[in-house]
Amino acid sequence: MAWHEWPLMLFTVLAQTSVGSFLVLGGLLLSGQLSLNEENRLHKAMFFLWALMGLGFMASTAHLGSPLRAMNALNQVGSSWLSNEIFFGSLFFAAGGFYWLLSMLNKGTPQVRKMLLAAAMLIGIVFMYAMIKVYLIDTVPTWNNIFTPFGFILTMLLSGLLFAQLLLTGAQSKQAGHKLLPVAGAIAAVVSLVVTVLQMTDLSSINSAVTAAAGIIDNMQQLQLIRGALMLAALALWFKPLITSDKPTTLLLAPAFVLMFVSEFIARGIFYGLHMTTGM
Amino acid sequence: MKQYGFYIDSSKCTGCKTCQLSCKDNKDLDIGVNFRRVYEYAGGDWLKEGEIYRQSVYSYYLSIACNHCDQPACTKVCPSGAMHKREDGFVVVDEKTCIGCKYCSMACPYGAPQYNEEKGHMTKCDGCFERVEQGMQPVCVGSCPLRALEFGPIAQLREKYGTNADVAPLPSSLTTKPNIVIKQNRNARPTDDQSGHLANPKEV
Repeated sequence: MAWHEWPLMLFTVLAQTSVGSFLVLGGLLLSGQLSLNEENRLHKAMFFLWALMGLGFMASTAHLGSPLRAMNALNQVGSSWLSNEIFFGSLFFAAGGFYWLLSMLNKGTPQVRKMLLAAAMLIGIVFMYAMIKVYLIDTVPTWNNIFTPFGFILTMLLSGLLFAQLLLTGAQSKQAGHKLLPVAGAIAAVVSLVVTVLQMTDLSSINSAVTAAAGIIDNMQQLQLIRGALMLAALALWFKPLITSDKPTTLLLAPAFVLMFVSEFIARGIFYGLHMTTGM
Repeated sequence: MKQYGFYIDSSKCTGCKTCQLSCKDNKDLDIGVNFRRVYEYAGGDWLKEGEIYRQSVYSYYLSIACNHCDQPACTKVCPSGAMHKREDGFVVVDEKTCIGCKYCSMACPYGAPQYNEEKGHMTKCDGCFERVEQGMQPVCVGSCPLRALEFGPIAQLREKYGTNADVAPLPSSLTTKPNIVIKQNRNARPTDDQSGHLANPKEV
């Protein structure tokens, strides 16, 4: 486990949560299924989305040894994926935030706002792609494999969809009770569990002369069990309204989201903890 | 393009770490920061031969700094461009530009880029390029009492000693194309060896 990487754990999970939920909410806003009042309430609720993203960026600077030079992180846009990640992340924050501000202040024509929203969604996808590429380093065998994109996209789905539904519920949208979100979340959870088992098995095949990937994290079983239990608990809360045919409430979905977030946070800690190189 | 490199004679090296310490002294490095590191790779087992047991214990040393690779893993990932390859082939970090994201040290399979907590950015072996420009040798090379280290244009070193840069626990030289030539110890194991272990993890 790599608790010392908490800034990166926070940044990546928060960013994936924000972008994941933004894609869902953005799609819904573009589809025209929301009434004007619903849209207004949803825009207000989306404040929390930008708060999470902002927190993520703040956390990311805590990772830097010289945060005052943070702007230099953009020097190698095009050739370094870390530069690309920061570039598209900032662009996502700017474009999405601008859309949100225009909507809140009711400025600009609906067409302009929709264009901006669609652009921000696209940039968000590129941001997520860049974030995956950052960790596909050919000298880091525990990261440079299929499990990295799987893990990152699953965080977008698990944490992102749940957060989207939480915001919809908070905005008292008619779409808040939509079955699709928890069902997709449940599928993502099953995939996540399967992928985790596959990855843990795969670790035994990754060795350098001095490091065996399977032995890097001492309490791996414990961590995975805690993480899995948190995810299933979150899923149970998320599903409860479907089973009892109630409307979801924020009182139910907020703790569900917290559990899911912590679960993904631990998973990310395991991810960073698995770092090793092909050498020493 | 010029390219310097190191010759490392693992058959001579006794693991005395004078190179590591002379570098530390010259560059005024704190505890935990080592531009040159001496890795001790050790292994062995009991072998049954008829009615008797014989041991096959081995260990050997590798003195590794930065290999100033042709395809450095560190410069490829660096977001600020601080980590760069100079005209003379040395891979150097511009300490005025580095933001201290530690991404280079995540990528380098030789452990060359080292984070300096006090400075808040990365530091590393610069091949003593200032000394080299004045016609001197890097400090580590001159200090070796076994004469197990040599420095010069890599083409000359390869002509003299061959081209081998692969031995456990180093990664395959194909990934980053390190500018080193290694003379192997008689106990040397191949790059992908799993029989030994790093015997001095706290010293590197």
